[in-house]
Amino acid sequence: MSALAFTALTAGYSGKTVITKLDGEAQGGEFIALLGPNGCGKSTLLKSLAGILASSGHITSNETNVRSISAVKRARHISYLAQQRDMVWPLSVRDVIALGRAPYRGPLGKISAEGQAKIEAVIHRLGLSEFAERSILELSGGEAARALLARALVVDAPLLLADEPFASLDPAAQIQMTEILKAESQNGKTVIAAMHDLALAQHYADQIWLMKDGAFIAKGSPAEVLTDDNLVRAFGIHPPKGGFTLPRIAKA
Amino acid sequence: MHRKVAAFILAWLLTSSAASPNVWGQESQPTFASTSLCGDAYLLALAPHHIKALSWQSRGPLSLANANEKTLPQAWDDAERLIELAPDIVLFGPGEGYKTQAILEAAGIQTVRLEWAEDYDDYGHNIDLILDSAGVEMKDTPIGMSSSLFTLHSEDTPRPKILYLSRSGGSAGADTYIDVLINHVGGDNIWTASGSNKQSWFTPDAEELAVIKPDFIITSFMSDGFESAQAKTITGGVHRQLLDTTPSVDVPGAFLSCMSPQFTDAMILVDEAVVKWRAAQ
Amino acid sequence: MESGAMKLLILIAVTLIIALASLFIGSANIAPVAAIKALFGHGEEAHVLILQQLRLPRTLLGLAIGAGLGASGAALQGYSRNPLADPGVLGFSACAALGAVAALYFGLRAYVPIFALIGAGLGAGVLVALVGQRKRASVLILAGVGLGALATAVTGLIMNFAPNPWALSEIVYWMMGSLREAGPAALLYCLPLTALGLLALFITAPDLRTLALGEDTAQSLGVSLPRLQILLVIGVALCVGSGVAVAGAIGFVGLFIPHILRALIGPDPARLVPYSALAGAGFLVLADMATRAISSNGATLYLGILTSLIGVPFFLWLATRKMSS
Repeated sequence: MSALAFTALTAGYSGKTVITKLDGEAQGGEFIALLGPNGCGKSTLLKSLAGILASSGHITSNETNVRSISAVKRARHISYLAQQRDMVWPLSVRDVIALGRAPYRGPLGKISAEGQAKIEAVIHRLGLSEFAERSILELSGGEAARALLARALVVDAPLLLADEPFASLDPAAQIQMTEILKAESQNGKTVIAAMHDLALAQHYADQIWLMKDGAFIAKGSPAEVLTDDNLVRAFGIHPPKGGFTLPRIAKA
Repeated sequence: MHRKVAAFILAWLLTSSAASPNVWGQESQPTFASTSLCGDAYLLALAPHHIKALSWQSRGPLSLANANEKTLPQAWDDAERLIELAPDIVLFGPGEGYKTQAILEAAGIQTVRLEWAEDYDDYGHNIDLILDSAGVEMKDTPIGMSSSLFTLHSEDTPRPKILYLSRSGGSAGADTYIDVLINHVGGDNIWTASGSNKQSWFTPDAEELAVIKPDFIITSFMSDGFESAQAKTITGGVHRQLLDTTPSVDVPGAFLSCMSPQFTDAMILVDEAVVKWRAAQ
Repeated sequence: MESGAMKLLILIAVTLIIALASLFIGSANIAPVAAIKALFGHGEEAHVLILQQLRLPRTLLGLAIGAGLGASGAALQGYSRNPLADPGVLGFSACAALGAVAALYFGLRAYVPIFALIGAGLGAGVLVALVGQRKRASVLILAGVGLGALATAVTGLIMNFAPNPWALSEIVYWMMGSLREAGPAALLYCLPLTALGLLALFITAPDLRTLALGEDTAQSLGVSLPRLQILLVIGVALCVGSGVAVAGAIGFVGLFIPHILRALIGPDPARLVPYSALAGAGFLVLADMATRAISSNGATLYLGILTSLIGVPFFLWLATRKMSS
């Protein structure tokens, strides 16, 4: 019983089809890196799986047809971290993270004690305690990205779909965030993250799905996927000898 | 004074007669074009067979034109239009025609402008303006004064305190032709009687209306004109209360749109109603 | 008592005090005690008439319309994630006025509220459906201003076809708004319609909070965008439509009330909707009191003029601040 399985998934925007008849499967506890050049359909795929974009095809999670359950139930099951992260209102970090408990809210909008506990836990786990009361607009790019990731994690869904979570982060922040995602997957969550950094993918992902022009050109372990042929075909680049290397975070 | 009143009576006689004879002989020269409702009223009374065009309001609900007259072409204060219509004389309403006057006169068209009249003197002056433009002398025409037209008022006659109320809640104080009308039917304008000494045309605040107690109300523009959100006499609590609890008479707006020859019709209407009110006291 | 509840109580108290004070202001000089007595039918007949037929309806209508405008502004800002949104700026008030004027033109005086509602609803529906959040914030504002200008132009056109010397003052009334014409009969439709509209907007409030994360994320969290849009359009149409039908177009209340409250109670879009309703109610009655105090010698100060005098500089300040950040 796979955490996520989809078949013949087809989706697009305003008449233009972007992804065509995609199949895929992910197990519980897997960290999957979704790679591909811009415009290949990574976002479209993630949005279709999250139920944000209309699509045709079959999507099941733990044998449940994702399309047949209510939006709120699906929200508890699949958490989505968007690529666009501009916030307009100066909400506090804690309040932003609390928004992730929306699918569990009572009729008057109240968050349960259990929910509050989860919020505190994720604030602590992601090292956001010192920022919790500050406005999210005041945080740096990396701090805000972590806060929004915390928002996605507090949903406590077994499946997390992240669309380019590392965009505009500095190298250290990128590594920190990937480590968080890896830790989550090791705790049993299935994480599918679209990204551009091949070194991060190679080092942290259990599986890589490589896309181009709306289709998968390779799926498998990093070693299997990050071959010369595949990378030339997808990105027009040759991998460096010895693979992609990651910087190490210096001890403070 | 007599000349003025005579002009008034004459105008009324002309209006009230079913088939008005030509005032100035058989031919219908000179021809007039009127650009305003007020001008229409004067021409329809004084020179109905000399009208080449009536104003753009001639077919509206405030117009005094009959079915035939409504088919006449319409004029408005625009040089090209008036030149195209080619009347001998253009009769402008109060405040109109300052810009077009020069062009029209250059085109050989005479122009006359009515003044906004609030009393008999002004009214008579307007009559003079029209007749002079047509080259007609007042003394050529027979004059008859009939005192039986209006009820005589003696000192003992009770003088009702009269309020004028238009559909939108507007009223008239001293120095208006409404005031003239009220005095003529033997009443007192409530705004001068109550000591608040209001002058001219104004819209009283609803709270002011709540404290005055008129004996009689003259209403106008109640069912003609157009639908408006500002028709307080339909929706306003105080206005409706006043109208429901006070005897009133409604005068068609066409008689009161300015001080025109039809003013006499308004006076007669109100006079009859006030006589009835007095009888009921 | 926690500070949130305290602030709410203060806001309620201030609004009630303003409403009470409104009963004491008018061109007739009535002592406060006599005014209260007259409200309940005791004392001079003229005073009773003034209090019950004039001042009380005017105050209640001011509260209702102000609440509707405040809540609509907060909801629209929450939905569009744009602090410049407001039913006046976005043209909905002008659309409602167009509907009302159309009803009057066809002699359907009794249907003025319904036509105003339809006007506001159509305007809101078109704009919300077309623009939403997908485009840049400035596009929404531009589209709204355009919509309002179009509605105003068509209103003028209708006036043109009803030639009447008083047509100009009619346009002025609709475009500038005034509670002067608000009679007791208006209470019958304005209060219930506004109440329904406020209910619809209150229902949208929690989703507006989630929408702070953006449309996509909100959808992933279970928010139904179509449902939200429909409720928003219905709520705004009911509040703005009934308000305009009574008092003409009054702008900018929905713009600066939520803004001021953001500074006082925080930026939570959900809480701002009911609080803006309360503050909007108090503010509009206060502004109306000011117009009554200033207009005492016959020249009317239109309520919409006053709110524009306050609102436009505020709008410009906010817009330039936003653009330079």
